[in-house]
Amino acid sequence: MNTDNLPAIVTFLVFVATTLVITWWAHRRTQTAQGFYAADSSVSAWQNGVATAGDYLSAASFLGTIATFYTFGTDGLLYALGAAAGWPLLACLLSEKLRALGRYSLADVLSHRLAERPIRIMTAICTLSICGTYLIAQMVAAGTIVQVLFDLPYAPAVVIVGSLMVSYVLFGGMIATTWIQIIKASLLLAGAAVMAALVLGRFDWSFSALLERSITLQDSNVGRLLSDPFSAACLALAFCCGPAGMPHILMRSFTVRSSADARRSLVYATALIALFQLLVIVLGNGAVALLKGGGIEPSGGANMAAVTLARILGGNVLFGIVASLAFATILAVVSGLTLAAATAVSHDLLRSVLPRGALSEASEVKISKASSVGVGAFAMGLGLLFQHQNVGFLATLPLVIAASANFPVLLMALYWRRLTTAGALAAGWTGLISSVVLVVGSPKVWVGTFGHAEPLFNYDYPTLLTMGSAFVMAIVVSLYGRTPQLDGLAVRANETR
Amino acid sequence: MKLTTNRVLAWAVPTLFTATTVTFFLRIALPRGDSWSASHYQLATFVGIALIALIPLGTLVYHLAARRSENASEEAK
Repeated sequence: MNTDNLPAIVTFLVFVATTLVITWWAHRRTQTAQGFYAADSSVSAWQNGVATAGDYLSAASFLGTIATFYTFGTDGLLYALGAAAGWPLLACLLSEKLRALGRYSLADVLSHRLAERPIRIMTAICTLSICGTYLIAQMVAAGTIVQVLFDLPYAPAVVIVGSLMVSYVLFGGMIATTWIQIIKASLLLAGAAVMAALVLGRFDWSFSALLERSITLQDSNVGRLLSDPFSAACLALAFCCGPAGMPHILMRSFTVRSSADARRSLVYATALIALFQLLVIVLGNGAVALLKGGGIEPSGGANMAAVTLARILGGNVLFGIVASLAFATILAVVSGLTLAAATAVSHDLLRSVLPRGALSEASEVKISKASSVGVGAFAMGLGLLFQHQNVGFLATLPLVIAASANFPVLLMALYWRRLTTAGALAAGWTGLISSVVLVVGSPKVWVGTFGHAEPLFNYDYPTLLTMGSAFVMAIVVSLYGRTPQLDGLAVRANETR
Repeated sequence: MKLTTNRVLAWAVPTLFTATTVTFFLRIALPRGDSWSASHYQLATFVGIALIALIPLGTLVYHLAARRSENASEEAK
């Protein structure tokens, strides 16, 4: 092992040790389903705000956005703005209602006024699809970082990340996940702030001078991130509506005491995410100015531009700290995703299959823990398959699915009284199937990953089509295919709870 | 349905930011070739930064309006 990487190894081991201690502490407090899924709804607004920001600020978006700046110049700005753009929608329209109606999962919110069984099955499958694709992005980023950081091969790195994330969820549930997110978000923000200060220091604290230098070094790639207005609109919609459909972020609303706290926590989260994206703009331009300006190629490809920039700014010490921070970030995000996926299996899928009352609360938690092991194994397999994909692109895929499948159903269920169960199901399945099929058939996956000569669909981001179809299906089926008996049953079932 | 400030803001804030974001994306994505000079790129960056900085302010305005409305209804009780 390279001794130059000692600071990285020490920082990473300290993080892992701290998080394992938190997991052990949380394990003693996680005896009930309420504790396991929702941290007993005892998290304060400020804590939940930081944890929500932590859930969203993944290493894939940190490394991927800076890599996009490095490769496409000013176009990287679109990823930075997009990452912040969806939060007002979540904070203003959804947060309070989610907390008021939900208990552990998105399906709880929807089944308040729609037939429970088919809605739970659909929502669980949507959740598993979103978490699955997002886990791929995190696993690929983790494997790449560990190759650079610890001189370990890709496969063992993915197994280490997978094992740790399963441990956090298995033993600590939502309480451990929340605290791990809080620590990680604080460290990531601090790390990005230090790096941004060092970059600006190189340009006499003048952002204009940095920008000027960066723009003169941008090559012919600038302007090629999005080739046409359709792709641009699709990506923008994925960013704007995606966070409002991400299950691991929506779940966070259930961990606070009241609707007002849910809203307040999203105000904090939005501020922290916006601050982070502003720092990323400095770092992205810094990567162009200092790496391209110095003729330095990031070792490990464009995805490692942020880590290579850290080495230039602060030598091996900062390189090690930033690389291990990125790795720690992945661990935290994947634990949140694993918990959301495990909740979908135990709380939504099984409850819809088994007769009411057949599953005790304790059994449900046990099944959820077993599910987290299965989710972990699945994520590791996919992480190995998608090793060579760009992490920025991979992190965007789940946003497309979330914006197309979950968001239309959730928004209409909360705000359109005439939505029927049939309409919601038509919207959810249309959004899910169309987004998965079109994303798999896109140039980046069909050609880039599977090696086919021609894509099945010419665009990488189909959000405009898929989300639009979901909304149209919800309206048309609700208005013209109304099933009053089904909805009546659902309302009565909910009234007797 | 009663049109309260809170309700108007709840829809206006996200709609405004979503519309602005989509417009900004479209503008950047339009074919520009060599027609963009360094000053265009600089301007685009500063507009992007301003938008990102405005997003938390927008949600804060909504939060304050919602809190005022909660306080008013509690006082009314």
